[in-house]
Amino acid sequence: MIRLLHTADWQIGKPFGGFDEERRAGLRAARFEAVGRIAALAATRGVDAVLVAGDAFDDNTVQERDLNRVLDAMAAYEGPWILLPGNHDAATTGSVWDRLRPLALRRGVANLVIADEPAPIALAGGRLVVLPAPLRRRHEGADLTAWFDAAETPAAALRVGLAHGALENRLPQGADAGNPIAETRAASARLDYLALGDWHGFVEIAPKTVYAGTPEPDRYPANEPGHVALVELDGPGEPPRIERVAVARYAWTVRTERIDGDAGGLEAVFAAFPDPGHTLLRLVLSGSLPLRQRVELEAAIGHWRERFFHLDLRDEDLYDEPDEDDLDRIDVSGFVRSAIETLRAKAADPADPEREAARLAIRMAYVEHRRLTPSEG
Amino acid sequence: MYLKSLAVSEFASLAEARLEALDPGLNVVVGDNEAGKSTLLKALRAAFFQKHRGRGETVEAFLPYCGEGRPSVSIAFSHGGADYRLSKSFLTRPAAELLGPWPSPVSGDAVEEKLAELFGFVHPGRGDSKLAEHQGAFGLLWVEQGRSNGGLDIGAGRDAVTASLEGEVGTILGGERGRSLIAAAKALNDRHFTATGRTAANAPLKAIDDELTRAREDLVGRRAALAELEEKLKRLEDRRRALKGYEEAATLEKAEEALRSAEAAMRRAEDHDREWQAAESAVRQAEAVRTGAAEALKRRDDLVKAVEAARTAFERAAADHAEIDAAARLAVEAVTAAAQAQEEARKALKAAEDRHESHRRRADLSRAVAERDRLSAVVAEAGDLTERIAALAAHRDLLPIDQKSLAAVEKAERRRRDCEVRLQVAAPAVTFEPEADGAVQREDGQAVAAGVPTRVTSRSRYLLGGFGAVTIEPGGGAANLESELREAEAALAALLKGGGAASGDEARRLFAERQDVEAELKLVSARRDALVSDGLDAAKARLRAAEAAADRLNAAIGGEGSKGAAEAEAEATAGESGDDEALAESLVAALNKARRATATADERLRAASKESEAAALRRAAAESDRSHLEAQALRLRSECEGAEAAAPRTTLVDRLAEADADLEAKRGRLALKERERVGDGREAAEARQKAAERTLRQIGRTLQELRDETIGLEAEVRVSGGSGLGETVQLLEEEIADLERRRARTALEASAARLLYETLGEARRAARERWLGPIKTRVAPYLRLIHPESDIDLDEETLELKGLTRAGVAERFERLSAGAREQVAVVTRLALAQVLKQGGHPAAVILDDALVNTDEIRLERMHQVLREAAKDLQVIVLTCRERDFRDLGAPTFRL
Repeated sequence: MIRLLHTADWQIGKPFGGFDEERRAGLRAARFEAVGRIAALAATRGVDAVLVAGDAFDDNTVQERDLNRVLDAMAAYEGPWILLPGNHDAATTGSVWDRLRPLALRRGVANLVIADEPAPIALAGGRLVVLPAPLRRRHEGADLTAWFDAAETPAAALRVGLAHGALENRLPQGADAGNPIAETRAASARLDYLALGDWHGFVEIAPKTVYAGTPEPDRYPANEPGHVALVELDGPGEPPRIERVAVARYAWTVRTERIDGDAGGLEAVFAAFPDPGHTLLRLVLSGSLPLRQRVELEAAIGHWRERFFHLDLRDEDLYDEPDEDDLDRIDVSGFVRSAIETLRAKAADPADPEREAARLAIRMAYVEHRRLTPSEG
Repeated sequence: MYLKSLAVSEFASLAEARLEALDPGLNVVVGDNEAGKSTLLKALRAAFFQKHRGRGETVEAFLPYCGEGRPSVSIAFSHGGADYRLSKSFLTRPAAELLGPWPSPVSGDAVEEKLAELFGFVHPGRGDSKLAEHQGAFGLLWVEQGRSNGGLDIGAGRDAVTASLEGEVGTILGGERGRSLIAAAKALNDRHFTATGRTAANAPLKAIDDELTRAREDLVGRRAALAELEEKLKRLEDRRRALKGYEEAATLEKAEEALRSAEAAMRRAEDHDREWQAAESAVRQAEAVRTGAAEALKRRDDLVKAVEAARTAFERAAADHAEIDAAARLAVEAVTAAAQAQEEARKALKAAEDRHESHRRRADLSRAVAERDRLSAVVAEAGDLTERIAALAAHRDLLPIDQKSLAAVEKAERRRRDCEVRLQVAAPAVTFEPEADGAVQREDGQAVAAGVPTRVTSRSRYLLGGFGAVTIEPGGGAANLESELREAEAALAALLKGGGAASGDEARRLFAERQDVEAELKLVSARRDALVSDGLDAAKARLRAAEAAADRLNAAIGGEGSKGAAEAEAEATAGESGDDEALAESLVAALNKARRATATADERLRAASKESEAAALRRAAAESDRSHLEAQALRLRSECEGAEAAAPRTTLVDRLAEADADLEAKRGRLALKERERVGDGREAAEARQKAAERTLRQIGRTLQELRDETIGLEAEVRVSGGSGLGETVQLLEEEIADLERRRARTALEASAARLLYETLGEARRAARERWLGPIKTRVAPYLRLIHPESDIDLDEETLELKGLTRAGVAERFERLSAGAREQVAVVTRLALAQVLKQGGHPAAVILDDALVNTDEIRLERMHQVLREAAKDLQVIVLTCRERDFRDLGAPTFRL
């Protein structure tokens, strides 16, 4: 039996520019830690090889320091690491592989196999042959796995394909369709397993064909990232046993909530997260709230913002709906009332170019007024 | 509220003053300067607002000027439908009492409390009651002298007015909370914007924009660097591929082999070249030998021919010489014949010339004779005319009356006539009328005609028959005139005598005669002058010269001997006949013919001489040619004989045949070498070798360049490859996206802050407009009277006058004229008083000389204003100018 660990899309060097310095550093570090956990898992489970199905690096210009850090993280597993160039780290002239190879040599790392040639790689004393389809340009129009079909391997050896791209007709609409791979490749090439990369979620997408996804999520789409595949192959032609193992440190979650009139239910939503300190939450709110509720909501979000690793509030579709009670709290007499009426009229007019500003202005007036009269607040 | 009566005693300058039965409407209190009008108002304020127990400077000032007394004020007034009587005394036995609609009078300190309650004011904690702070609306309504053209100085009166306004329009200003909210909104707005509405330098938006700019600039730079890196990578790949291509095709080795082959071919070509050059040199030598032999044979043949030619030439020259010599002799003879012909022609010409000259001289003589005769006649006529001129001049001199003397005579005549006339006028006329036989005689006995007047010009004595004598002595200057007449007559007579005339008429006749003589004299002189313009003597001289000339010519002709002088003269005289002309013409024709014949003979002689000279020259040349050719023929014959002796001609022919054979053989060899050389050309070989060298050099250079560039690119790519450039670009792109989101949110916040602030401000402005409405409504009709089309501008907070807007132009209050200020302030006070009264506050207006700066027209209108206001308000006007308010129609009180 042959045991493999299939992973992909480490995206080492991804910058996370939309975050502040501290969170940025945390997210970057998490990717090395994930590799470390993979190495530990591979060692613990005694796999025969670790297959990395492309995009180990986010860019060919990845910093030298990051190359060293990733080699450090890989050290826990001493078996062969088969690294396939993907579209982010295509084996072009001057690619990261041109730098990694001499670096590994210099550091005495001998278990690194850079699969940058479309040629069979024999492993486990010839019992396993890996057929790689490296990308040598960022975008390939042709199916680079086509050569698998005619590749000669010993009859007793397991045939495992290693590729990076979009499996035709299988991925959801809107997924990147670059670097196509025939959906029947596993069958046509008589593969015992086809290890794929590029799609960041874990999915057994076709018979004997698996996207392992990224081990550490790097974006919000909900396609089950954060795993690796542990694969056991008994012999040629036998079906593989595939185990999905979670390795992620951070959870990236999107919650969409509609709130009309009362934001009180949100507290429960926040509280339901088991580990908010390692959760990135994108909270998309819609609906409408009276001003006093809105102000309370802001306070609640202010609180939870400090508890979550990151709270990304999208409230463009959440509208203020000041009711009479709100307005009474602002002022019952004088010119303030008439000013608020003017702003309300603007806020209610879809054709008014200052509509959004008017909504916010009313809330500001409300907040300021409450601030000025704390005894009632 | 209104004041009903007022009594003041021992109060400052007022010893005693009393105003009884004040009208609830308009009142005028008149008092001269120092009469105490202002003191009256002071006393009124003291009564209402000054505590009676008070001391201090203000209260001390209530004392009369003597320094002693008990300042007292007593006022009766009506308020809220009830009557009150207030009495206060200060300093000495201070006391206060207030009677009102209650059972018993209030007195002492309770009076002060009661007053404060009634009139809505506060007493100061300590010190004096101050107008603006402590006297409620009365600071506003009671106006001291000199205060009227300042602002309203409304002070504490504002609360009362505000309370009244709120009673009318409600609370619309939002109070303290409204103000705080505006301040808060302003603070929010100011975070983002400057006072002029621009984005503030420290605005959050500005910071984001700055950061965005920095990030975008950074991104541009990083993208460029990344593009450069990618370009280098592409170049590197390209160079590597090229190098590989060179290696796989063994390009360098092939080029080296090609060069070697070209060099071998080149060497072969050089050998062939050398052999061909040697063969060619041999041919050139053989050709030279052959040419030498041919030339020697030709020279011999030419020499033989030259000997023969020289001999023939000599013979021909000798024949020519003989012929030319004969011709020369004939030419000499022709010259002799021509010389003889010339001599004869010259003789004939001389004869013709002589004849012609003789004839010419005779013609000259005849012209001289004619001139002599003409001059002789002229001289004779001129002599006659000269004599006539002398006779006329003598005649003229016998007539002495000229223009001037005639004028003198006529002038003397006029004078005499004049004297006569004046004497006739001046002299008395006496008419004697004797009796029938009576007669009258002069003293001298001359009878005097009777019955006709007789002029008596001088003392005259008349003898009257039968009577005696009468002597008449004319007076009036007649005697003088008489003597003047005598004088005139004497003068005339003297003049006439001088001119040789007996009377004036004769004198005039003599003058006419003299004029005739002068005219003739002039005519005759003109004729003589025309004849001899330069005088008779000159004409005579010319005559003598003409005679001499005729004599000389005549003598000359006589000298010729052929004819006598007389004959010549006769011929000359007859020269004018037609025969002579024909003769002259024939003589000239003969002369011309002889001249032509001579010229022809001269020309023929010259031609013959020239021809003879030319023949002599030809003969000399022919002689020279003949001797030269003879010498040449001898020399050539000798030379030819010498050459033949040295090498006979047959030897020369043999040598030429040998040279021809040798040349032919050498040319055959050269042709062979030529063919060999063309087969493998040196130039082509050289070109091939050079091309091979170039190719090899070029390939070497290209390979070196490719290797160098590859090494350089690899080094560069190594440096920037691991710099995380792509990561930085992505980072910046994400940062920019994040900044843009934040910017949108911040911009919305800024817009909202501005909108809130502006909307609140606008609402407050609108509220203020409504708030001040009641005041403006009341002021408007008054203002229309004094300043049409104007509007007051009040501060809605302080209710202070800020300005006046006239015909749309805003003017600040303090910049208005003193007159306008006091008018606007007074009408505003009246309006505020009405607002207060409407709000149930006590209000009565007292104006102390408040309209001193107002012109007459406006003062009249202010009267209208005061009358109008006094319809529901008590107005008390204190003035020192009674006539200003005489027409007001209000009760007048005097101090």
